[in-house]
Amino acid sequence: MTQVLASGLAMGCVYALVGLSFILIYNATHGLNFAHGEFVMLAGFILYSAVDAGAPMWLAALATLGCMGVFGLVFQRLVFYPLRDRPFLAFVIATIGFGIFARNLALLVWGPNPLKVPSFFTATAVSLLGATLTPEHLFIIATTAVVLVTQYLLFFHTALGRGLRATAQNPEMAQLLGIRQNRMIAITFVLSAMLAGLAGVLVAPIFLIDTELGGAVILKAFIAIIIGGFGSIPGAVLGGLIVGLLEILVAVHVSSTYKDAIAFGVFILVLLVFPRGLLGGPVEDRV
Amino acid sequence: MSRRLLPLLLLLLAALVPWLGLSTYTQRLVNLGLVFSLLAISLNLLLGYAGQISLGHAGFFGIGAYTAALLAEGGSGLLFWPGLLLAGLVTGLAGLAIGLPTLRLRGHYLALATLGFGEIMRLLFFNWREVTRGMDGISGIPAPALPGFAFDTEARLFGLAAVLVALVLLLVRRLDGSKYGRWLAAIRDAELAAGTCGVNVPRLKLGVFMGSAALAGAAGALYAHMMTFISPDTFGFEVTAQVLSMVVVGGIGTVAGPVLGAFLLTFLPEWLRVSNAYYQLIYGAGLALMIVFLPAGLWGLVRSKLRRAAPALLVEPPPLAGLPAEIGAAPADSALLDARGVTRRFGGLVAVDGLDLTVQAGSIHALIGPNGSGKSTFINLASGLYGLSGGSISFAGRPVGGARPWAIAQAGLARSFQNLRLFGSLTVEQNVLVACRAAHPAGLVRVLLASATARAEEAALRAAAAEAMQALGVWPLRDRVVKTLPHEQQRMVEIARALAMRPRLLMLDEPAAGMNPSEADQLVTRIRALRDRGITILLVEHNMPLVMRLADRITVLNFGRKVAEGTPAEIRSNPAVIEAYLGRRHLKQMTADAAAAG
Repeated sequence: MTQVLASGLAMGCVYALVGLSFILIYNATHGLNFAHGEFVMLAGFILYSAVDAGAPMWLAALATLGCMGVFGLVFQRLVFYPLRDRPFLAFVIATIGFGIFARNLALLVWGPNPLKVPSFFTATAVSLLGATLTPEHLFIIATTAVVLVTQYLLFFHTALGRGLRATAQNPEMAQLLGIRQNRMIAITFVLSAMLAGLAGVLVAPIFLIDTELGGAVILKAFIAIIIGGFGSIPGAVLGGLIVGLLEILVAVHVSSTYKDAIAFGVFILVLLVFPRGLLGGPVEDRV
Repeated sequence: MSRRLLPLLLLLLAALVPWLGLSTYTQRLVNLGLVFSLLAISLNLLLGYAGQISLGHAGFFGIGAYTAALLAEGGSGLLFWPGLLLAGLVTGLAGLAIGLPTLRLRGHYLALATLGFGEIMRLLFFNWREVTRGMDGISGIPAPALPGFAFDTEARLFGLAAVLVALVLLLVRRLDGSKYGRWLAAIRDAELAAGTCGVNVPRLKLGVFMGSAALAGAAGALYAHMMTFISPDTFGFEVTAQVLSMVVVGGIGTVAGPVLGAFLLTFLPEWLRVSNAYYQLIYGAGLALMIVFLPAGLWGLVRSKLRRAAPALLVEPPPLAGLPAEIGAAPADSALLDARGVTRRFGGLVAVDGLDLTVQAGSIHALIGPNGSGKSTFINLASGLYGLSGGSISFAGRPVGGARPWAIAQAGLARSFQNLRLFGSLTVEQNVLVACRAAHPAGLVRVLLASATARAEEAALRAAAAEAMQALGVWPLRDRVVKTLPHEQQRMVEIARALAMRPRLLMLDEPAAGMNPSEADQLVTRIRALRDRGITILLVEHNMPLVMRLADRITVLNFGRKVAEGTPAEIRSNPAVIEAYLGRRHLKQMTADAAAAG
């Protein structure tokens, strides 16, 4: 049972990272990035290529995060920037297009066969408090915890974090106070792409890497976001953990075929009776 | 090319297709193009006209296909017709189930919910083997038939599909040009303002969502009968994305664009002759590039080339019909709007605090006060945009506190917005038309059938709009797209739009903001003319000379409370008012000055 919970929690952490990085962009720009799953997929493929080129795992992981940061910047410039003043559906459609483009580009570059990267660890099991756990799961949980703390410190205890939050809350006012809005948004995209990339790096050793990797993760992240309350960062994390645990418990105790359908059922149910989610704000437009 | 000629020409062209000697394979692709046209038209109805998104259209398409397939499997081709209706009905109900909880929320909830819905449906099609037979799919679906005639060749299927597409296109065009089309556009451009113009926003949004779903379901039924075999891999997100591309590439919000897009993307793989991955690569990039560089799509581009210069303006406006007698029927000096103890809190902030306000019928009542004193909040409360935290508001003797904006607007309480909320992509006339209501409204069916009632209603609406536009002097601008107008003219359009509701009470929120003195003078004349026609006015304004000239009665707010009320002369010398505007020290100074002078 501990093993099951740990694996659920680990997947929950991955959903939390993806959901959180998605919400970072949403909070800063009100844009829904439907290519976000492809960020995760791309990181998986880059990691594979780096390992394939002979880099040790830790170096490959760092290189991947670096690449993802650059990618985030380019993505912001090419896809977000031209559409910044257009209705929100324009960005939605453009990112859906970009997502299809990225998936098929990956298919052509890395081929249709699922790829495998080695584990970060040589051991296959560790004992903790009398339970046998997979080191991968513990690593995911620990890394996510560290990232969340770092992110909190960045946002609430640095000048950059204040600028980012100010831009997210009121871009015009922030601009008048000398905060460079476009730079803050670019930094947000870089951060977001790196976090999504981290999720890809963490999940790659336990999943196989193929073009469906992003789609599988992002849908769960969406559910996590809605359950946690749209726009809330702690909500996205909490929602991610709930979805991860729910998914594994349903798979073990109810039906593994329908675990995804059940997760979506929960999602629609939350929308029906509790659209604010657990920690969300108002759901209707104000005057 | 005239708008009437083009559809006829296309129809003629379509009639020739079966005689072009196309191979069976090409003819099959043409037929598929027609099915996808239906699907793209259904998505465009939602995306282009109402500005709402569905990322689950493949799910609706699939529900329709499976419904028709299960009904007709191994049976007679005559079952196509009830299958088509049933498919539309079932998917319409699915649309209701998704739309009802999500359409009242912000747009992104709909995007995520429909995405989730599409995924659930895909999983169901694959895994609910008892019904869908999973990967095996359903075969033996008969070709559609009429008694004694089966649509069993590609050419015959083409005829059937082409007639269906033409019919749907005709209906969509009628919808687009009708009041419903304008209301949808109003929701797309400025949802809040659509509500205060009397448009029942949730009902219309739900209606168009269900209609779009039902049409996608009908397309699915046609697809099932055309292919005679369906399997779940046809109904995944890939198809949703493909249909979205068809709409975007063809032209969002145009009548013919989705058809153009559907054919283009159906034939693109044939022309390119590349593997699916390359094809998907191209259309993914194409989708993103189109939305960035050519948001109006290919048809939008063609149309902008075809469109001639705007027709010359009519110099002579039609004679004023005059307002109907029931306007201003309320006896003068009775309370038209009566607020008692109205309170509105935002978190810890009390924006309006126990306000009592009575607006006498036939008067111009001004509501003034420093910024943040609760004036606009009161208008938002009275027009139903905010709910009351306490107290009550009654209008013409009926309680309106807590009523929805469109109900309040239809009861005769209209408003303008301080920060303009016009329907930017519509013309001045269309903006005003959104708010017009005829005495004998025609229902959706009559509008789609272009019945005499519908045509008479449209004429009545146009007459009412003309009258409102003339009253505010924007008649000569009626064919201009409203976002191209300068600010002060947009203000006039806002007021004309509110006036077109034929309201008994008109609430104007800072109508003179940004106007120069001569424009403000003109505004004074116009507002007086409205009052003389029996319309009661509640005016929020910072331009004090204007308020003093216009108002019969003034209420002064500060920090959400009433600090004074009276005639302009009384207000001018009221100490509490001077304090609210100029501060206590200034008040002392003035009293001292007055004492010295006296």
